[in-house]
Amino acid sequence: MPSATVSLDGIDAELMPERALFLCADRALVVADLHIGKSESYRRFGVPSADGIDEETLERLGRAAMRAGAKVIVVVGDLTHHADGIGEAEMERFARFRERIMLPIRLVEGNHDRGARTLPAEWMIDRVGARFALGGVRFEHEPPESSGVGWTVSGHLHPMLSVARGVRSVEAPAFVVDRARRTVVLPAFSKFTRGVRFAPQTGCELFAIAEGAVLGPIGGAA
Amino acid sequence: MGRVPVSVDISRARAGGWSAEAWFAARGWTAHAFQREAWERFRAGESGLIHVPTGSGKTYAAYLGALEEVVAGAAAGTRGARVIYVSPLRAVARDIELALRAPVEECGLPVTVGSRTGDTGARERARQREALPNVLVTTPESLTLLLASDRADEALGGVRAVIVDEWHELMSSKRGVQVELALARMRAVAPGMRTWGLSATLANLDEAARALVGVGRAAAVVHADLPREIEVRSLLPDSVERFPWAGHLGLTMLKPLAAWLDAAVPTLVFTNTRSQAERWHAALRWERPEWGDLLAIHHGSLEREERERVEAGLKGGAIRIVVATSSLDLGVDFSPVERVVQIGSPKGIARLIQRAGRSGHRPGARCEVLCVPTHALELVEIASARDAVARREIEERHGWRAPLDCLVQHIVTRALGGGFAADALFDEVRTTASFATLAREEFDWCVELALSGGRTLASYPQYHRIARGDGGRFSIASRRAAQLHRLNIGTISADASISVAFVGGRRLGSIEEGFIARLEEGDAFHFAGQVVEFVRVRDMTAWVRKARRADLVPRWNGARFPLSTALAAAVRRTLDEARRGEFREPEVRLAEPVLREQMALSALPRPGETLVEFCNSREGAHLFVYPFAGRLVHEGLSVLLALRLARLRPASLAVSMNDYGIELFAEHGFPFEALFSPALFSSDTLLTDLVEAVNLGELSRRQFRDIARVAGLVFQKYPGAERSGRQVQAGAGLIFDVLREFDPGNLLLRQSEREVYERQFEGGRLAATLDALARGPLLVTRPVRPTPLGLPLVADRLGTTLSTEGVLARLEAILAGSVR
Repeated sequence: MPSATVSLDGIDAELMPERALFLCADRALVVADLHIGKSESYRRFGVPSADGIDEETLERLGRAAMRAGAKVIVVVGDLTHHADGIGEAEMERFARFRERIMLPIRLVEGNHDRGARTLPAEWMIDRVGARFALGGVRFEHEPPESSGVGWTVSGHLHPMLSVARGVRSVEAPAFVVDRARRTVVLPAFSKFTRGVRFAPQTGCELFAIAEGAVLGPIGGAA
Repeated sequence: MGRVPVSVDISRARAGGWSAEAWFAARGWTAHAFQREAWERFRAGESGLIHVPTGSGKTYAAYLGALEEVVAGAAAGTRGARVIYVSPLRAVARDIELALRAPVEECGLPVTVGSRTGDTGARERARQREALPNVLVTTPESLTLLLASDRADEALGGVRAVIVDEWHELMSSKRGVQVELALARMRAVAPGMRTWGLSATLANLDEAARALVGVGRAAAVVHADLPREIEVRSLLPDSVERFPWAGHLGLTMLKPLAAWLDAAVPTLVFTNTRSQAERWHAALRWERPEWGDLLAIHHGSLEREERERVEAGLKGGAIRIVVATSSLDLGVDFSPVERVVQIGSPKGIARLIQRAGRSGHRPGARCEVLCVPTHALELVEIASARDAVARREIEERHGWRAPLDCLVQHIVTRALGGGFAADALFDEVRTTASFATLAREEFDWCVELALSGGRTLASYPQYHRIARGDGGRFSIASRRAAQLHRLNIGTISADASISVAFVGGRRLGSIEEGFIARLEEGDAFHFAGQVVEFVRVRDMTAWVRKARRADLVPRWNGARFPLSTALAAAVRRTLDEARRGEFREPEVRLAEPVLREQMALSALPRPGETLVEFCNSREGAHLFVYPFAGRLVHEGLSVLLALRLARLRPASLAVSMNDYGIELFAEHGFPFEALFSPALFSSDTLLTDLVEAVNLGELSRRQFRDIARVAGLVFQKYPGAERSGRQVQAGAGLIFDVLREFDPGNLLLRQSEREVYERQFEGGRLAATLDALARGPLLVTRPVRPTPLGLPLVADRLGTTLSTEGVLARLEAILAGSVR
């Protein structure tokens, strides 16, 4: 079983190796930090960048949605990287993606989304503002200090598990489940990112993605 | 050469009969044989290299022949550049300019002299846009900038001669490639242009000369006939008991050195790394506070103003003792240096000779260098160096083979400088030694990179650096592209580091970001000869304030010179003598207890024999191999060996290396001996294995960082506020990872792999070493604990690991061992 399952005070969630969280009851696929168009932003600035990143991102998003049997996709911020990065190729690519995957997409506003005032209509993105709620779970791009009653799912940090011992060391994208604050931080969906390193610690459960599987919890309750 | 007041025969000069010999005679100087030869050859239309071990008289040897021609020719008195003098250091441009002016002013010659470097002011630049001075002193970067102007052909079309200083140094760097490409262009627009280089001693001078003058041309080599005896002395500890066996920053010899140094005698104290320079400077200042400002520090990470202040002080006499790295290896001999000290091993014979040659500037004084060992094995190196110097066993230096990042940069330069046609540029580039065997596909790939960002199939209409125009000619795509390119031409030599400055005050220099990242407020450290404490990082600067005391010294990741083949061979000979019970030189006699301990615990190898040690310590399992091939070769060898072992059995291995050998380290019980066999040293799949091993480690990534900068994948400087570039300041590391996953055929990636092989691992030297390991006898021992040869490797582990265990397996192993 490549995914890991967690319970957020009675709400079942599946942590998928495609870097997505699936809320089983509402069949919602939750992702964050896709940064579509980041490569193109770089090229606009005169910096050559690799091809194929957005292609892979969208292919993986589609695959995760199909595998989970999702009814809705929630993007917890930073769907796009910068307005400069959305060129004809990017618009075309996302439009073709929408022809295959026609699920509603709810976009929670992230810091990078502010740069893209209007998204192409063909993308059919439902912008739901900076805070959103679904099935008893809240969504906010930057993780709050504390979620209060109920859980909040966020992105923004691009968390990476970082551990070492003796001659071995590992860095891998990870989900961070903080039971004290009731927050879940998603790993960046895009592979073209660098993020914050997390070492195993008390109070925080880390779920690392490695070799197509989700391993965890690492660290956790004291 | 003494300065004698003279009456100059101006009428002869005015008649156009001015000659080098005449000027020398008028000054009361006797021309050396090599100077006469250089002038004769220039008059005969030849190009070539002037080999001057000590530097005296080289400037005029190269220059006066060219000046003669300018004065005598039909172009006398006209405007435009006729002689270009390229120096790698802009700091000495002023001094060089003065030297080049001297004959012009004394004889009233109708020649203008000027310089163009990063320091040239706006007004002078504007004047030069109108017309360059007849004689121009410049740097490789500024020369490239001249090429990158749309009137380049016009400006450079009248050049009769180019002189390149310190060619031995330039040729083995990418700036040298930059110069080669520039010269190729200049020869195309100014046929009949001659090229003359100035070089210190190398074993392969002919090859160096050919690289300078271009493919298919005759290259003369003129040798300076100034033999000077070089004496290698050493400062020795009383006994080796308290002397460290390993480590680089050892200050055991501090007091003896401080006692030997004399503030009345101008002295250069060379160290091998910037960290060592900071450490020794701080220690000397502590030991001899009365020296005050007579003591200074100089290295590449100091702010330019500070470096210039020290250089001026040394020249003028206000500063007497300078602790420096190779930053002071180059430079015209205008400084009154009397003594030279080398802390630690010089690592190479040519370098040692060159540094010794900086000493003894009073007539009749000898060339002497005082070597100061910092650990026991360096005693052996110093004695071996003396031996090798006496035998004049000197190293070769080689250029770069087809570095595509430099080519990409040059393509954009040429697009800016009037545009180019692809076929013509390809032919032109192939006249350089670096690109003589460039394939047309590689060239086209580079043009494509500059044109569209790389992938030939995709089109990115918004992105251009160059653009294809009517008739197939390429030119610059936009003003912004031009601006970015010009701003970043100088970044070949720039370090990726963070600026350090006093709060509200002056800049001190720059330090690698990794060091700063680990600091907390209040942490004190030595830097730029000061004691400072960290306040905060803001606006791309690390702010500090003065502090009282500190123990910490920054660490730079810059390239360290490896033990050269010449010195390694000499060290092997010395160790062999010790093996036979001969402890000849005083340094070796002092190191005798350490060498005997090595023999008792393990063994000393014969030349041609390789020592292999299997050791199980309290720490874990060790494999030591000692090829004595220098740290760069060992970097490659170590990961290669680790990969091949880890293929036999999934493992995570820590890897360490130094100039003498390598260590592979694993957890207890790892069966090194059972897995070991000569097959590990097979050359069969060397390249593919290296690529795999290197991709599993950090080396290729580091190499790619520099390539990315040169090729323009990342920019250091942006016009206007630095913040505007924030969103695209992904480290080159991220671009590397992404390219590796999505565009593995990318030629720049391939270049970084190739460069790691050729430069990092000294390509041919690695292959030869592997061959020797496979064929030659192995001497296997099983010491019960790490030996004197092994201890430095254990102590020096930098954290390089190689693992063939999957991520999951590693993760599980790490977590199983931790406390939950």
